[in-house]
Amino acid sequence: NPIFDSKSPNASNLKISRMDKTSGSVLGGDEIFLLCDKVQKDDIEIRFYEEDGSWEAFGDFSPTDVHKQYAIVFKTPPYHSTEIDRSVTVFLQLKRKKVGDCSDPKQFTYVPQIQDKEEVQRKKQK
Amino acid sequence: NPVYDKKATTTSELKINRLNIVKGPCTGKTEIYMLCDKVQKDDIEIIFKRGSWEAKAEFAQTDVHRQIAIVFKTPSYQEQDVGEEVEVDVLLRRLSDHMDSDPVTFTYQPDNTDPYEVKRK
Repeated sequence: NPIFDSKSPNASNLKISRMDKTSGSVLGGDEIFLLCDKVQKDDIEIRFYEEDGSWEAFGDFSPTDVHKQYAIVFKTPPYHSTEIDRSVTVFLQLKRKKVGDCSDPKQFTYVPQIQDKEEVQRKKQK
Repeated sequence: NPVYDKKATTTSELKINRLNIVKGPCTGKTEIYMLCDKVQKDDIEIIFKRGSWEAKAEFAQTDVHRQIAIVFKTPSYQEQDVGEEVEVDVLLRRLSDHMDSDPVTFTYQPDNTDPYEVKRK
């Protein structure tokens, strides 16, 4: 079992345990079940971001989608560009709105809208 | 002093709140996330049921998350070659007192959709 140091103000006990999906459409809107350590339904957000800090967006859910403080059902935000040729991997984390502390990140992969675009082009060239 | 909790997980009402997936192949093994009211990880089963047929979903105690979610795999349906979709009941069952939750519906789908649509024609 993990031990949290409650005396350290920067220590966050936010944690994502498990997600039912780790990839989805570049357009967003995919429903994800996320299991986590204890959260407050009014003080939690799911932040998607690019590692270099160039982009962030938030998962879409209401307080009623937070189940018994230990699970959240949310919809993915769209990626900043929906015109991508290849899959793009970003990160997501839990973040408390008030204090701003965050969980460790998990990876999420945005998949292009038309997955066989390259193949279609290859066939066109023939 | 002992605290008597009416909501104790040994006697409380069982309830399924939500499933992330409600359809899957009759061969089973579909991974499903269930959100539920509090359960004891060592005293709970997930039952698939239709008529006299019953089967248990597959999960370990470590798949029970904080008493309020269970990640499990569907059992295979009694027939491996259903011709069309079959609706079954899914319910939580407490082992100690044989209490069942209200059911929710799961739909088994044919394993291979007829590639030439022969049956439909």
